[in-house]
This record gives sequence, C-alpha cells and structure tokens, in this order.
Amino acid sequence: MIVAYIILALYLIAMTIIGFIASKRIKTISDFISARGNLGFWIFSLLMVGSLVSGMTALGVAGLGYLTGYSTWWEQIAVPLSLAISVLIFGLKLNKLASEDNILTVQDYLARRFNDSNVLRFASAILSAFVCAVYLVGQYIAIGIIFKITLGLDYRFGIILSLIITLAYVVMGGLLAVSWTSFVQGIIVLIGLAVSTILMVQEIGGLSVVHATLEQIGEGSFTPYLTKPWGPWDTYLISPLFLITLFGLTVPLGLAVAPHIINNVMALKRSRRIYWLPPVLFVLSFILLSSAKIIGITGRAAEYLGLIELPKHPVIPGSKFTDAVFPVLAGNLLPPYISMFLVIIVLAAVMSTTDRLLLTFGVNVSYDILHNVLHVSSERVINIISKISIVSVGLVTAYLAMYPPQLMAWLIWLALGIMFSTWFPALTASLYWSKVSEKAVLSSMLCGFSSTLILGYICGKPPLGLGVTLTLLNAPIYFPVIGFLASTLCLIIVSLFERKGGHEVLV
Amino acid sequence: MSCFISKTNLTILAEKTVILNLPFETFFIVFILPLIIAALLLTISLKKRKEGKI
Repeated sequence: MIVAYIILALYLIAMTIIGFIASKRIKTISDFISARGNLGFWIFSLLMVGSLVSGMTALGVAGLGYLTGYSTWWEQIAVPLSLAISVLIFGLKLNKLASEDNILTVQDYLARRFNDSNVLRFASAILSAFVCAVYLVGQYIAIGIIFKITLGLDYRFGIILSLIITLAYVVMGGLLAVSWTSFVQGIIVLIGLAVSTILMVQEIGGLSVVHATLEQIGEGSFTPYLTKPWGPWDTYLISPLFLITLFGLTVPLGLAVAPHIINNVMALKRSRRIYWLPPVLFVLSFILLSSAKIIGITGRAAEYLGLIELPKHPVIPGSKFTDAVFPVLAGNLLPPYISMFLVIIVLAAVMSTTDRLLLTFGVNVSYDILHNVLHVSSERVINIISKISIVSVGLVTAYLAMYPPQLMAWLIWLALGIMFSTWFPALTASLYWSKVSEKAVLSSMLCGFSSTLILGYICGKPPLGLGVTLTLLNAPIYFPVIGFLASTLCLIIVSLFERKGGHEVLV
Repeated sequence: MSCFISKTNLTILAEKTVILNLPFETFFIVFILPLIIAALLLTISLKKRKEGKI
C-alpha cells in the first residue's frame, strides 16, 4: 500500500511541476485562454480525448457494461463519434475563423456572427458556466469515490487533495497547463485501461469464456440480453428506440458541443494535419471507451464465476454498487504491482476533465462576461478575476460534492441533455445557415434550456421529478430529444419571421 | 426471386453464426462497425483535405 501512496504522490507532484513550467509561457490573456492557438496535433488530440474521458468513463461506463452487457455497446460508438463530429462540423470552421478573426471562445464567435451581440454572448456564457459547474460537482463526486474504493481513504480527503492540485496547475498555466497535463493523463489512461482490460480478460480465460459465461447467467437485470446488441422494444435503456434517442442523437451531438470540448478547437495550430483529426480522435477514444465497457462485462462474468463480489451501493438500499466493478475486478484479478496503478489511471481520467471544466468556467466569467460584456479592458484585472473565479467555482463545487444535495444529482443527470438542446441547433445554424437571426439563436438556446429542464422534472425520479417515462410507439425514448426538437423548431420559426441575417462572412 | 432466396439464406447464416461465443449481429457492432466508421471518417477527412485550403 505504501508504494501506491508513493506513486500517487509522484503523479500529483508531476502535474504541479507541469503547471509551473507552463505558467512561464503565459504572458497575455490569449495565452491563458487558448494557448495562443498554438497547440500541436498530438497535444490537441489528447486534450480532446482527456476533456471527454472523465470519471464517468472509467467507473460509469464499466458499471453500465456490468449492468447491461453488450446491449448498450452503442455508447462505445456514440461517445468517440462526438469528438469526430465536433471537429468535422464545428472545429474546421471555427478554427479557421479563430485564426483569422482572433476568436477565443464559442461566445466570441456567436457575438461576432450577430453584430457583436452582447445579449447572445452573455446568455451563452452564463449557460456554459452553469453546465460546467454542474459537471464539476459530478467529477468531484467521482474523485471521492475513487479514493474511498481504491485506497480506503476518506471520501472528502480525495476531493480536497485533487482540488488543490488541479486548482494549482490550472491557475498557474491556463490552457497550456491543462493541455500538457491532459497529454500525460491521456497516455496514462489509454495504456492503463487497455493493458488492464487485456490482463483481466486473460485471467478469466479470454473473451470466448466471458461471453459463454454471460449466456449462462439466469438472474439479475438485463440477463437475457447481455450478449445481444439491443433489448425488447418496450424495455427502458436497451429498447432500440431508446438507444437511438440516447446514443444516436443526445450523446454524440450533445458532447460535440459541450463547452469544455468545443472551445478546445480554437487552440489548435492550423495546419493540413487538422484533417486527420476525426479518425484519430475516434480511434483513440474508442480504445478507451471499449476497454472500460469490456472491463464491466468481464466483471459480470467474474461475479457469476464467484471470483468477485460487488459492495453494496452507498446510497440506494438493496442495490449493488455497479460503478465499483473496475476497482473491485482489478483488486481481485490483477497482480498487486499492477493494481496499485489503478488509482492513477482513474484519477488521470477524472482530472483531465476537471481541469478543463475549471478553466472554461473561469474564461466564461472573466473573458466572456467581464471583458467583453462589461468592457473591463485591463488584462491584469481580467487575469486576477479569472483566477479568483476558477478558485471559487472549485471550492463551491467541491463543497457540493462533499455534501451533495438531491438537486445536484438531478442536475448532473440533466447536463448532457441541456448541452444537446441548448447549443447544437444554435451553433449549427449560426455556422451553416446565412439567414438565421440573432433573436432566433437566442430564443432557440433559451427554449432548449428551459424545455429540457421542464422535461427533466417530468421524467426525473421522484421526489425531485414526476417519474414519467416518455414513449413513442410504445417504446421508451430519451427525453432531451423533445427539447432538441423544440429548440430547432423555435430557431427555424423565429428566423423565418425575422428574415435578418448577421455577418454572412462568418458563416 | 433468386435474390430474395439468397438474402434469406444470408439471414439464416447470420442467425446461426457465432464468433467468440457472440451472435453475429453483436460481433458486427462490436468489432466490424467501429472499423467501418473509422474508415468512413478517414475517407471524409481525405476528401476534405483535398478540397481544403489552409
């Protein structure tokens, strides 16, 4: 165990040193926000993968694999595809505009596209900051769980320790520090997850044995469908229509416009290699996502064979803690000298998302709102406010993660749907439809946000929600698609009534 | 008609095929579909690269 602590300390010190070195290169606000648009191909690729791959990936995806088997494998295609979509549909255009017009954030683009609209900039920045803060709470909760399960440490200790380290390097080095640390973290997660998956599957006897075991399992949720690509038409989570609305629409399109992911494209150094990004990002994130899912699937087989036993869920009485399947499986099947790296693998996955979320929040407050909406011109003041806002949101979200109110779990559950319905129609129309108007984009964003909140209340679990399952042709559907449709309709109708475009040169 | 028969035979073959103890349709989405998507993305990227001006 002492070796595990030493490895953990070395990792955290290395991240702080990287942040310190990056801080020496930060001279202007542009350096801090977008690394002066100078990120190389591989640094950018792993920044994108790191921003995407979170605690949810390392623990939640494995947990879903344990629960549903291959019937939710579409997730392994949808999530990697979101990065390819982000670059293909938005990145290629936004990166070009960023290099030509000194655009640093998505809010910058939206404002300039519509005659320097501060209303649009303000609304988008506020919504972005809100989503980042909600996502941050989810990340800190994951960090606390990792420390508790893997090292047996106090839940709150893990949150405080990782908060201090991420704040230190984000405040010191801005996006440059975030991308350099993400590069290291990305390599750790990529190699760590892939190697531990191979070793654990081999320990059981190979994939054929795992699949044959899944076929024998007769009890528990989703058991007849663990080796099937989907479940019955009317079954929640694995119905074909539910899978289409969740993994065919909400996940790939929602994550493609997530503020902590799409803002990265402004930082990429422009070269012809940019065109290689979609397949490279897809392959890298597919390796990560599929490794995590196979770990969960192997865990289900290992449990049936009596090799592991999952702990009880800390919150839901009578349920197994499925998200603990990765650490439990690694602890039982891997040699101790490999399993002690587990905490680093999972922590790297969580921290690579946490740092980007912290920075995006700070940029929303200091650059988008303070500098551009309230016209504070002093770079020194913006810089200080940016760091204060990063520290403040870190402290508040970490506190909320330590004592999570019920409302928080509901908001985290809603975050992806909000991103999907708020930004996807608005940003796509702004980039590709010359006739779209400022009011149409603004009303679409507000309509998407509010309708998803209302639908979240209707579909959320009681006591915070009404617990209604939306259905179409007797099949359950994932509710944010309704918010997306409402937002798109709003955009089209208002645009057609307005008939006033913005700067067509930015389309 | 012959086309219909061959499609039916293909369907039956797919239903009976088990690779790595997985039904064919699962094997397809787990191992083949990601390769097809990666190849498609590569093709789109190459096409855009030819058209693109940096």
